[in-house]
Amino acid sequence: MNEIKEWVAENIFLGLEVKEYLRRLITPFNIVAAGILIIGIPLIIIRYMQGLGAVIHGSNDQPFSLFLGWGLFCGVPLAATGYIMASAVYLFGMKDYKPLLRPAVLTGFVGYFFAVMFLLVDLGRPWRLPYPMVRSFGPASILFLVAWHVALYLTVQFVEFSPAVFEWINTRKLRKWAEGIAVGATIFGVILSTLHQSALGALYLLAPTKLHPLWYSPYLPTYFFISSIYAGLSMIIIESTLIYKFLPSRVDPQNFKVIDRLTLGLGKAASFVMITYFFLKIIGVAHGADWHLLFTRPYGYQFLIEVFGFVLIPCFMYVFGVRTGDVKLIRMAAFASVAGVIMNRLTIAMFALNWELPHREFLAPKEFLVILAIITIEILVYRWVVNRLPVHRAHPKFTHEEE
Amino acid sequence: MNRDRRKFLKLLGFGTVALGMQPGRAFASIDDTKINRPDSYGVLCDVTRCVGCRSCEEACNTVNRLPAPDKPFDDYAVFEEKRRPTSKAFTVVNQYQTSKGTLFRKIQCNHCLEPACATACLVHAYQKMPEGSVIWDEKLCIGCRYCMHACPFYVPAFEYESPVPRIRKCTLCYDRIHIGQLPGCVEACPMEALIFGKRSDLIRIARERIRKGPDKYLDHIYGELEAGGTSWMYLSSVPFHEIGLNTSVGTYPMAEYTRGFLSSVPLVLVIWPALLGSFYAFTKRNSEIKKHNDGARREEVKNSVHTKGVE
Amino acid sequence: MQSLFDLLTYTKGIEYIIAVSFLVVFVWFWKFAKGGEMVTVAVEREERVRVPGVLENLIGGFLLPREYFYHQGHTWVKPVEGDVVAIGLDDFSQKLVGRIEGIKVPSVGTLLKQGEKGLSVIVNSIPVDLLAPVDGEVIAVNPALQETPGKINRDPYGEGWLVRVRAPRFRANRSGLFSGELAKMWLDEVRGRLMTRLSPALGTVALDAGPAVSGIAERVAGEKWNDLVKEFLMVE
Repeated sequence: MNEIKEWVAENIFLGLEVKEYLRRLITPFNIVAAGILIIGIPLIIIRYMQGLGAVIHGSNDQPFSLFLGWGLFCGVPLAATGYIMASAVYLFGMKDYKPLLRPAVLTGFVGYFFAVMFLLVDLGRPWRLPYPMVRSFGPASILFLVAWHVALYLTVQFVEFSPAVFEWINTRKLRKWAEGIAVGATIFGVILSTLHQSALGALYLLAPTKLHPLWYSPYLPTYFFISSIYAGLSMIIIESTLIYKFLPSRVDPQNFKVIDRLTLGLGKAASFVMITYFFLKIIGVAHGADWHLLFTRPYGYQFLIEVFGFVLIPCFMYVFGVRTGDVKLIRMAAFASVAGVIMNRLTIAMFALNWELPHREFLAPKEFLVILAIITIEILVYRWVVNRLPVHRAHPKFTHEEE
Repeated sequence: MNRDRRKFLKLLGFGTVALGMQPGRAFASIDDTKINRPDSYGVLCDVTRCVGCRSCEEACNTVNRLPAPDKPFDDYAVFEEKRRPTSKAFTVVNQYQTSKGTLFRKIQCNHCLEPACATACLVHAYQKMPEGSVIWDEKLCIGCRYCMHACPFYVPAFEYESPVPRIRKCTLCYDRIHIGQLPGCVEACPMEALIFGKRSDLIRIARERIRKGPDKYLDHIYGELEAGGTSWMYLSSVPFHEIGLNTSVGTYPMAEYTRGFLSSVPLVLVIWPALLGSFYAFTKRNSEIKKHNDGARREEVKNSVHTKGVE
Repeated sequence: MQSLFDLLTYTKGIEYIIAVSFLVVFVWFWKFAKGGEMVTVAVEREERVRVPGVLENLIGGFLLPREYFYHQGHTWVKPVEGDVVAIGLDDFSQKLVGRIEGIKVPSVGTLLKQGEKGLSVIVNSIPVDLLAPVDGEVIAVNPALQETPGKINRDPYGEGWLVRVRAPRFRANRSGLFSGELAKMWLDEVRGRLMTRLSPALGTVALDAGPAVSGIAERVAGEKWNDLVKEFLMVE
């Protein structure tokens, strides 16, 4: 009993007395977060009591609004960090990137977990979430594929992250087992990711009359998959930047010496993916013979801004950063790339969809507040885990038993 | 250059529609469908006969026990805006100003032969019945609204105002036609603008009308081939887009657009493990060789650094 | 264009052209991303050397020509003819110390002993000691270095040679030197050790890839550069 008490005091309350811990919680960031949650959580409760329409801005013509547009369509590519880093380290042998592996897997896990949370708020009957898994199958549907893969992938991500959890609760055997199946889990994870990242794009394949031709393309699945790769790479850069800046006490000091080199490496990889993606987009325009649409207002210009301003330019920011060893430029490129992916997904999910329908409204303050609340919770959860678990640093009791 | 380009683009646009209107293309999926359901029922809506009395709307409301509407069925001010089916109204009639004057068209679920909604539903909550109706099962729906996204005609409506929401749409009065009755709207129409019957018969009737009235009707049955063919078909005196029907829907069933992607899924499931496993094996082998060599070399270097050097 | 055939001919044609241009662009992109070569500014007028960013060097590597022998104090030996060898400073140390302003070498006839101090270069007006890589007698000093000591930075393995030495025991000395693959491994290790000195703020430091004058040591350790140099050149 005493052992458990000790463990809780050390690992939950960070070695502080409870009162002290609670007092330490009062920081500007936490106050702002609390403010957001005080508004957001009641809204979520209202959504469940009064139906979707009370909070979500969907309509009969446009059933998916900003809420799902952000939660599912943006959340999933931004959580692509896990499979990319795991492939790099386990499948391509880039052991140098080990310091970034666990954070990437954690980002991925938290990202997908909260994508499911978003779903639970957005679904009309969320208690039926398991239905496509257990009750009734609709395999002709691409959404069926997405549902299964997200569920499976969440499990895989957890398994990949579990060594950190097992270290935390001090179970050597379980941890060894988890590390043993790491490679298999990684391969499985890459398969799942390939399929569901592209499936999210394929969801729009059966709406050729609704999606603006500059974005509609039989290549949609490929676009979503490839952009998820550089989105993941960029997110790893952003995550490490933020954690190394705001939570440096939780980072292994050795890592500070290599992080710049690793960031450059990630930037280099991202640049190659992005130049490829850029050309694929051009091929897509050629495929649909849509050249004349490039200069229409507003969609043509929006497409040009997205592809040139938020794909090509960040791509070259990455390349220049790599050439001159300018890590700061790489970090800025990461933010720009992620902004571009968000822009792309939101455009496809909302703006370019049903582009010919009259009277469309996108401003939805209540929806926005709920999104903000869930993102806040996501950040708080992530911070909680990084503060306590051996994510950016090794657990003192576990030396590196491999290699 | 500009003129040619414009011409080309126009041709491209019309070409797409023209392509769509060619009958009998050799795509196995479409032909099989039409062959498989020769006896399913449908409705032929003759737009030239509709006078906008909204009796069909009223009948639908009664038959399906829908709540009373905000504006009564004899209020024709509703025609001032374009309406669509909602969770409380499975069918609506809209008024259109066309090249041949004021026309009315009834909107409802078209009960496609290969419904996009059914394809899209991840819990198989939709079924295309042999009679022709596409119906939705409340016991399975999880409220994801993907069917609404998939429907090219913007038909399914969702009860956003309910904590236990349903999808609502026309069922071609399945309960009635199942026992040999007519759908409510068909029975109620005073102008006999709606005819219920076997789809194959309806097509013949429609063709006959077109043949007999070449000035009256456009030579096209909307729904014969659109979206892979629908049970509800339209005859019109003006081009269909003038009465609000989407003419760029094409003749593929919407499901056809996702076939390519779905076919590649098993390929990825099989090829990826082999491919990625090979990468892993390859890099493992390489790193083991390197380790072995490094180990030997490292020893050498360490020795020379420490022993040779400053005497 | 009335048919699917015409449409496909047009679109597919353009797509193939784009795909092929991508291949070309990709090759260029790859080269571009690999980074700048170290360009040495032609030096008739100025003694300035372009020293690439620290990170660039650490990633790009230091020159290590094959036919040379290297001492762990970062001096090299190259047989000239008979038992005469040339001695110089390697690329790593040249970059480490930065702009060399002059040299202090022993006069002709002085005896050098492998592993002991014997030569020095002048950086920031301070003499930096080097360890002699072989035993032998100095028979010549590079005359060009009196006028243009910058040659050591620009061409450390060629025109920047320091002294020529008659080394009758070169065969024996060889066992204390690195060459070939071993030299590469040794330099890798050295590079690694230098990397651990880098601080997170290096991002901005690496930015100045312009005509900088200071060496890696100064940019990494600031005022304590001489200590860092002594450590890596194995002096004391």
